[in-house]
Amino acid sequence: MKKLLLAASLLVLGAQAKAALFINNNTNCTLNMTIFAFDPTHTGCWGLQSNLIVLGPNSSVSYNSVATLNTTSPFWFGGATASTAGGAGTWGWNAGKFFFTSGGGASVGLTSCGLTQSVTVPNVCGSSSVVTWQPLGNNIIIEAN
Amino acid sequence: MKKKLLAAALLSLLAPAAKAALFINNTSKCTVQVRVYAHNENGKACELESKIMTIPPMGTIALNNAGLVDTKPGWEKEMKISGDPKAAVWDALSFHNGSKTLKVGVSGGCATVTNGMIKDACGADLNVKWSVAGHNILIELYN
Repeated sequence: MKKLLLAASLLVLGAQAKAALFINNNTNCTLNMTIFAFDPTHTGCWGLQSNLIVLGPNSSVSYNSVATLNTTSPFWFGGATASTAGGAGTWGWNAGKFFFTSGGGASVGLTSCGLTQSVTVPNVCGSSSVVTWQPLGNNIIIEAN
Repeated sequence: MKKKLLAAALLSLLAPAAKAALFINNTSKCTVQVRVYAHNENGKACELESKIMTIPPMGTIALNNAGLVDTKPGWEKEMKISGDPKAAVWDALSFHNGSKTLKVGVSGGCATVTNGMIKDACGADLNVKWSVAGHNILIELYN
């Protein structure tokens, strides 16, 4: 039963697959983030975990698909290899867990993973920051303002 | 306290124009070559034309603000962003396939359409789509 539920929720997640991930740091503080994603062999909300992405003040980074992190720094944790071979619906982005160099951190992501899509972090290098997870066309953007 | 909240709300309203990133996503099967166009705060549309950016298949580019183009790949005529780079505005993107050019962008800028189709360098139909997403601009290139 649980497996069926998991399969069903993956189907729902699939609607936003074939999707790039954009991370946009508009704060004056360095943003450190771990990304969580899934593919057919790394299922669920935490199936794929990235190594730490370090994003300087007022900068952005983007990943075309989960497979991009197979060959692009900082790579997946544990040397995992993600696959998009199954096409749209078989892979996607789930969450971003982050901390600023000053001010602490939190997580944003899919509500189906128990996460919120907007978090306010106080005292990020002088002012509070609102970090959001939002669909952007077929893509996902995580933005710190 | 209320005043502070109000000020914060006003600032967040003002923020969008001043914090626009440009995201380019190439999900086509072909390497694409594009130029982007922008203008300084209070400048003229498309006064800045970037040098060529090359994006491989399944590649992306994320530019937090137009000031980043100053160093990579640079603007034509060796121009630079003047004033606050976060206040500069993205106007358009052009795709060139070797013989023809398709330019997409904001209305009132130097582009006449927000999306279109053109043959890519591999001979396939390529869609080039400019869309506004929150504060940011997203350009998708796909077959």
